[in-house]
Amino acid sequence: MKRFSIFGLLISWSLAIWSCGDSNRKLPYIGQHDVNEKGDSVYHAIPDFKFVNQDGDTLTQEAFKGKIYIGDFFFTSCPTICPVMKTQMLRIYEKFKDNPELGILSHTIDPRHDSVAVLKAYREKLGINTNQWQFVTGEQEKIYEIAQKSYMVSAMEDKEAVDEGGFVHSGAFVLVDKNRNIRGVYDGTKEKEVNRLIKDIELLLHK
Amino acid sequence: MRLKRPVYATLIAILLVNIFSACSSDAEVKYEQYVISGAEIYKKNCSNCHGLDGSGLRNLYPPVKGSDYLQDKNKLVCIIKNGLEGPINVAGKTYNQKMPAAKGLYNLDIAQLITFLNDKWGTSKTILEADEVARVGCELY
Repeated sequence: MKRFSIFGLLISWSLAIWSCGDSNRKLPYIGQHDVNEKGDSVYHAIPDFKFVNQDGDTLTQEAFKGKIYIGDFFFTSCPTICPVMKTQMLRIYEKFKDNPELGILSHTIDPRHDSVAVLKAYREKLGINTNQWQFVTGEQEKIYEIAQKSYMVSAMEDKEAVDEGGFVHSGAFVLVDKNRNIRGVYDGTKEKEVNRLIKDIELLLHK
Repeated sequence: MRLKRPVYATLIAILLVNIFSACSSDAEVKYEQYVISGAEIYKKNCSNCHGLDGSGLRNLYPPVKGSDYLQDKNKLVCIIKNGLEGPINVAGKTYNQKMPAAKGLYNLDIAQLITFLNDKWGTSKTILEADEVARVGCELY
């Protein structure tokens, strides 16, 4: 009897470990869920957008068609959290370099200063030389709107991140899947959170 | 109660060691305190751009580690106080990203910070005092 219970315990343990395993993990859908006429769940999605990238070219959602991507918001003259975010984003960039299924989209929240030429120089100094990581500028209102309403980063506003120019912004990295649904929001200033993001990217890529 | 002779001798020895070590290490203790406080100040005010390991960020932010700027402490004081703009050359590479002035730092903070920077990444292991920081005239730079 005793031997049997130990055996049972071992089985239940291994079942527990197996069911918690990474391969079985599912990422949540972030944002509001709606139900359509057919009764299917409709998840919050990033709408169509149109910005200008570091080369002066128009960049829309088409650039990320069939890809998962990470969106973030920053500005080049930010001395607070942006350099840390970029250091962390570089880890992701290096890890998934040349993977055609992963993109990175960094939006400036200071388009008055961050012109196409400024973004181009900034990107070059960071050593980004593939199209995988795009830097975009555009109308300030449009950028703020998509940040707050679509990427929902206003919820993670950090009051400490106000620089002299008065910009309030979150250090979030937003993970968007191939259907433009948000599957995770991570603090891009923290190494551990970015480790979690890297695992989640791998999970989405292998689906 | 009468103490035995060896006990007296030991007590006196301990006392002497304490006195001597205390005297000779006053400056050392202060130096260590500056380095420890300076490390905290660096972490809070500088490491976002220059990195926790002092190596900067690619071609965007210059390294502190191995930088010639560490040798000219007066110039360093002024850069920290007033910030820096325009292209600069560090360890053979050109950088051009604006550095903001560290307005929240007192002379003592700057003294501790520079003491730390040199201890960790420079060649000089000497303390920089707050009144030395106060005496630097930044109009020259």
